[in-house]
Formats: sequence, C-alpha cells, structure tokens
Amino acid sequence: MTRRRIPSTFDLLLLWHGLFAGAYTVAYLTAEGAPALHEFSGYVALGLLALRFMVARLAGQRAPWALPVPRAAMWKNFAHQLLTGRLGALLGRTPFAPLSGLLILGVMLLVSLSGLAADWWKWEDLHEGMAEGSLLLVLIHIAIVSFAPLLRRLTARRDDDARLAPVALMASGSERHGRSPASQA
Amino acid sequence: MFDKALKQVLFGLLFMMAITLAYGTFYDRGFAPSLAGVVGLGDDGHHGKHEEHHHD
Repeated sequence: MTRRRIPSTFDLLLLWHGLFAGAYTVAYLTAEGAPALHEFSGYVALGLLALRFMVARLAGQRAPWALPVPRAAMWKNFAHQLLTGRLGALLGRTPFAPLSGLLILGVMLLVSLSGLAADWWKWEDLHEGMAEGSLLLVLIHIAIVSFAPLLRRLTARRDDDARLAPVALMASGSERHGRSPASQA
Repeated sequence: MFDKALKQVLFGLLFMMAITLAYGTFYDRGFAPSLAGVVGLGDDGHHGKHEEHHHD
C-alpha cells in the first residue's frame, strides 16, 4: 500500500503560484474578445492575490509564505562572490529571483485593482496600460528564474560530454580496427 | 525545484482554462464561444454583426 505524502507549505506555495500564473494567462488571453471570462479570471486572480497577502501577513518572516524580500546580506554575498570571480554564484539562487517575485506581486495587485476599477467605474485605459506593462515584467521574471537552471543543465551536459569523450574516442578507434569495445573489456 | 514549479504552472493554466470554460459554458455564451475565448480567439460577441450594420 502506498502512503500519500501530506503537501508541505512549499508545495502549497507552488500550487498557489501555478494557479495564479494560470489565472493571469487566461485573463490576458480573454482580455480582447471575451469580457465575461476576462472578469471571471480577473476576480479569481484578485482572490488568489488577497489569499497570498493574507497568508504572508500571518506567516510574518517565516518561509516560504513570507513576502520574497531580498535581504541586504543576500545582495552583499552575491556581489562579493561575483567581484571575487566566482561566477558559480550565477548558478545558484540569485537575489534577482525574489526581487522579481516581489515586484510581480506588487504590480499584479495594482493590475487587479485597476481591473476592479475598470469593472466598476469604466477606468479601462489605466487597466489596459498596466496589464500590458505587467506582461513585460512577467517575461523578465521567467527569464530570471529559468536562467540558472538552464545554465546548470548546459554545464552538466558539457561536463558529461567531456567525461564521455575518451570512451567515445576509444569506441570509434575499436570500430576502425574491427573490434567492439565490449570485446575489449 | 524549477521543474516542479513549471509543472504546477502548467497544471494551474489547464485548471484555470477548465474552470473558466465551465463558467463560460454555463453562465455566459456556451461552450464553443467560451472555448474560443479561453484560447484567445474570442470575438466579443461581434461575429456576424458587422454585416448587419448599415451606414446612412
């Protein structure tokens, strides 16, 4: 019998992140041609944001639901590593990730509230302008958070290639002499 | 962590598309226009109205 694991607070935060990203994307896609669906997804996004800020307030400084404020020590440590030539710091968690997360939370709150104003008082231009600007911020956030994992994957692949190069060379040499590497072993 | 977050984003996107589609199907303009709306091809209910519009 398999036992189901109780989701951790971090799992719940990832679930919240996924749902919010989904609500934002659907709201963006429905903005031009489906006003009722746009309002529905917009209200879901606003509800999710309200939940996020409420839980962050209850959590205080406790991770992972605390607001992602990059601490001064994190910046100092990151700058020190870069200045001393340790570029490996770029492969870890940089302070830009929480900073972009915090900026996104703030901007999304403004976008959602301006959407509410557009719904109630027809302030649509303000909402449209802010929503278009928010997309740029989302793309920057995606670039920041995916940079380190992609770079890690590339360097790991390069290391694998370098490690396997002598084996491949040996294999090609054996083939040239009509022997398989397995028969040599 | 990146892969897990990416999976959750895809799940969230599909889930939100599904519940928005359900909302549109039952409370707005039905399945087909809602499906078009959710994937970004909505026409704001103006389809076919341009032909009926007469200029004086």
